[in-house]
Amino acid sequence: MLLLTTFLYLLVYTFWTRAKKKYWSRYKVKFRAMFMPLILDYIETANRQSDADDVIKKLTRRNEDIVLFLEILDEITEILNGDDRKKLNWLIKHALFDRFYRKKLYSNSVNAQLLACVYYSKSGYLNRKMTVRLISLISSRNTKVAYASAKVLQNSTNEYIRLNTLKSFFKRPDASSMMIGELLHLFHQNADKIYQMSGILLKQLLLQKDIPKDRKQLVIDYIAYHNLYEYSLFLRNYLQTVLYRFENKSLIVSLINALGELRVKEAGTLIRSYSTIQNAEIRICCVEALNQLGGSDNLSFITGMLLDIEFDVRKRIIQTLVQDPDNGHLLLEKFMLTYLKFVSKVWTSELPPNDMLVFINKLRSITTGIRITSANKALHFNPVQK
Amino acid sequence: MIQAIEWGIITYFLSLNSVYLLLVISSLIYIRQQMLLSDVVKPSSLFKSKVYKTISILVPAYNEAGNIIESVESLLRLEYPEYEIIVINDGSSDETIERLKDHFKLTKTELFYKQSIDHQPVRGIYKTAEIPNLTVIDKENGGKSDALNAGINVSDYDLVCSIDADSILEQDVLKKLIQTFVRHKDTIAAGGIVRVINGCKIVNREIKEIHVPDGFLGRLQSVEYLRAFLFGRVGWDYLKSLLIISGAFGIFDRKAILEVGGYSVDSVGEDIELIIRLHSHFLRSKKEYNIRFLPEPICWTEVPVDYKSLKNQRNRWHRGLADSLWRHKYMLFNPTYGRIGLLVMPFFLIFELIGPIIILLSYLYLGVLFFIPGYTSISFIVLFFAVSVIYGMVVSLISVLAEEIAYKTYSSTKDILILTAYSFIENMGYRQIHSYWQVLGIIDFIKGNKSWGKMERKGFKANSAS
Amino acid sequence: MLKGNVVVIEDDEITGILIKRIFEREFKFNFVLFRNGLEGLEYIQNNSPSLIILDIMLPGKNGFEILKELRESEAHKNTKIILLSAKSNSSDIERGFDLSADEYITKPFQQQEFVVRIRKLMRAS
Repeated sequence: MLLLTTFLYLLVYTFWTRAKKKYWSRYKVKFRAMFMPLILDYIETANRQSDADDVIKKLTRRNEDIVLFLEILDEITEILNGDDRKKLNWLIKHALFDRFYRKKLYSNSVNAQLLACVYYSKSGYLNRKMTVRLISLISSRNTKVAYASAKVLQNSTNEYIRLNTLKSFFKRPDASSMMIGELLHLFHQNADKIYQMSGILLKQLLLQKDIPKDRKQLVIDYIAYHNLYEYSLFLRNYLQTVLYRFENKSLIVSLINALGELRVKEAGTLIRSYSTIQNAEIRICCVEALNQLGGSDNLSFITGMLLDIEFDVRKRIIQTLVQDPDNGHLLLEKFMLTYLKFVSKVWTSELPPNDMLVFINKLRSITTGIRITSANKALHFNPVQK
Repeated sequence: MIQAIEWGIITYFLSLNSVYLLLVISSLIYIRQQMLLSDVVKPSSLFKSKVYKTISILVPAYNEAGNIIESVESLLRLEYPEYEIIVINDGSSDETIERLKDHFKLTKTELFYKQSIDHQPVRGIYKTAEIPNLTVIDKENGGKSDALNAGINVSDYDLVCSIDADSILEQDVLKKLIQTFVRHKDTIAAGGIVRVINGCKIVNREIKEIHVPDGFLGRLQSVEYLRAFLFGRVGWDYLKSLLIISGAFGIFDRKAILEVGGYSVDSVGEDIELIIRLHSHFLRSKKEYNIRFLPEPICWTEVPVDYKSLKNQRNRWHRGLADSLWRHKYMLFNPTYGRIGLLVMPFFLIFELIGPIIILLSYLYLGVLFFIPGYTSISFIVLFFAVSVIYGMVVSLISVLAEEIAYKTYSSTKDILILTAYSFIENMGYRQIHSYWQVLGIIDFIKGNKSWGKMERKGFKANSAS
Repeated sequence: MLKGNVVVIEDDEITGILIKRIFEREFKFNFVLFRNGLEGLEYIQNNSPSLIILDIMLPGKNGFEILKELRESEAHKNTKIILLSAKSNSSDIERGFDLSADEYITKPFQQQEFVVRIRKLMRAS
């Protein structure tokens, strides 16, 4: 009996939900049809901030209407910039929305807080009282709220607030790498709001003990990707302090990669010292980094690593040298000449002993690799390496 | 004695449907959570190139001359920063490889890679400079697993994706799937929701309308997919106990697959078997790992609509499940294997694998009851009906409802009406016949049947509006 | 005022409306909008527009594919084609020009600039 009633209840609820959704989507279409031309007209003709008031007047104070309206504005910001965008900002920052969302910011509901943060990220408005509230939201139990408020705080004109926000947020175990990447990006953006960013602030994130290593990795990747050369020597010194242990492997890989991307020539010796480490992934990124540092010494060194025990390392070395526009292929030729002489000498005597066989097979694999990779380069078959 | 049997049967059905209920409800909670402003975390910066790993899509093809070009062309249109497509022609007897060579103007070449996993010999590798991210491998026939293993060897990227030739992917599916890898570190495998494409209106290669299929069997399967795939899997994922990722579309960390030795060539359910082996290996070596399910639709597949094909498909699935569980029976009730060994695999063993036997026997028992003169245990019959059929209907209906709340992908109310009706019908006959097929599957497994059977396929063109 | 037929293939609702308004305001063009690549391409092949504005991310067939096919056909080797896209990587832009697009405008853009570029392009014919 109980089951039957549950069943009927569910049935009704399903259709009720669908009806509701249908109603709202029709409403949305009507709303957009009405407001889109208004907004676009406004963008074309507006001159002053007060013109925005005229448009806003037509909007009711209903929750749903405000959300739909802002949604339209949001979509337009993806399409237009420049002067048009400035006018759009007058609309976005209008007092109506500010009041509406300010209330939500201080509410206790997670939903409301989230909506408020999303709004303020876009509008960019931030005062002292709000800052205090947002900082407290970073410790919220809900990841999205913490993230959204961290995003808003990246609009602050005080660089230390920005940095401390990152410090607090990066400590959270539930922060995803996408969130971290985005926050780092925002940290440097709109830097014109800050009179002058003092020095290499991000290093504080790397030196802080309670920030997990994978976050630090992202910070290093970010520095490399955006060519923040001012961090070059700091990163080299930092690598020297990281002990080689299994849990530090990814951190070391990031650091070596970064030193390569930033072309930190002073790090050459340090990187070479990692070329004999047990972990193949580290050896591979040594090859790549030394290649980026360039110079005949580094390239010769890479060639010297060609007899590595791991196939993947050998393959990467071959690819690197084949792709090298200058003398890579000459070094490979020299290598082949040296060893082929050896191989032919061995073969002409009797069948070589077992351990020699392993060595010869390795050589065979290397020469095959050189042949195929070079041929494919000529035929443009090599996809761009990441 | 009779009491014991009766109570046994009732308990069985009660627990089975309760577990399903639990799964569906946890799915719903989880999905609602995800949906709350899911676009808050939208990466706008260019930095995402560091976060997005590289993907190789492996397309094993056996006698797919009809579909293969269209399939590859649509894969080439996927939106993702860096990915490649590796088509593996598994010794087709039709013109699959010739069509590929012709259409894409491929030339024979060599690639430098390590033969980490053994497989049937490769006859040739083909590429073209115009489409640098397409590679075609031509090899001797060895079966789907064998073909995939060849693809894994050749791939040089972080992740590999195995896909059925008749699956249709949305353009942003790779971007969606990568979210799982981004959100959960150490993810080694991920799957997503598979939906039924029969009945959808495809115009100009765009899925314009989503409807339930026209046929009886098609509609039954739609409800089934919602319940078992959509919400069953999401539920398991919420409980961090995912055991199955659909063979139609799954994505794996390449190094992880190499660690466990690739797909197994002599298994009928190679997709389940691989996942269980991954669980087994990583749990044994006590390494952190994650196998997750993305609660978003990512793949559309054609379901069989005639009785024979459907029967064969389900028979094969069940043989696959039996085979996989049998190979890894050492994991059952073994604490080394944590939740998977203690809870999930036993669940699958008792409810999914052996379940159909119990179900059939119960119905047999019910049937026998009617022939015993004077025996009228009305309460038992009513209770039985309640826990098996009605409870089942409730669960199916909740799935349909949950779909409405979470996604609302069906284009018209008529579809929902049909689905609701079919969630009745599903429990009044289909699931029972399904159990029968599964029992046949178990018998076939014990007999050692390894065949795949043919499925009558209508192909994409039948679904397009002309 | 410049005259002619423009075909726009764009699946984003607001962008479509925006471009339509721009053309109504600034030019005396006949305006046709498609939201699906294949449909748009078919229309173009059966008509001779004076200007084509293509988004890249489209259902059916993407902008690059359409551009390539048009440039390979006799009828549209020289038709003025503008790529309009949110994809702003240098590799995408390079690809666009490699496929012989006449212009590549990235989103977000300024309406005034958009108008100026079109005027310049149409005058060059």
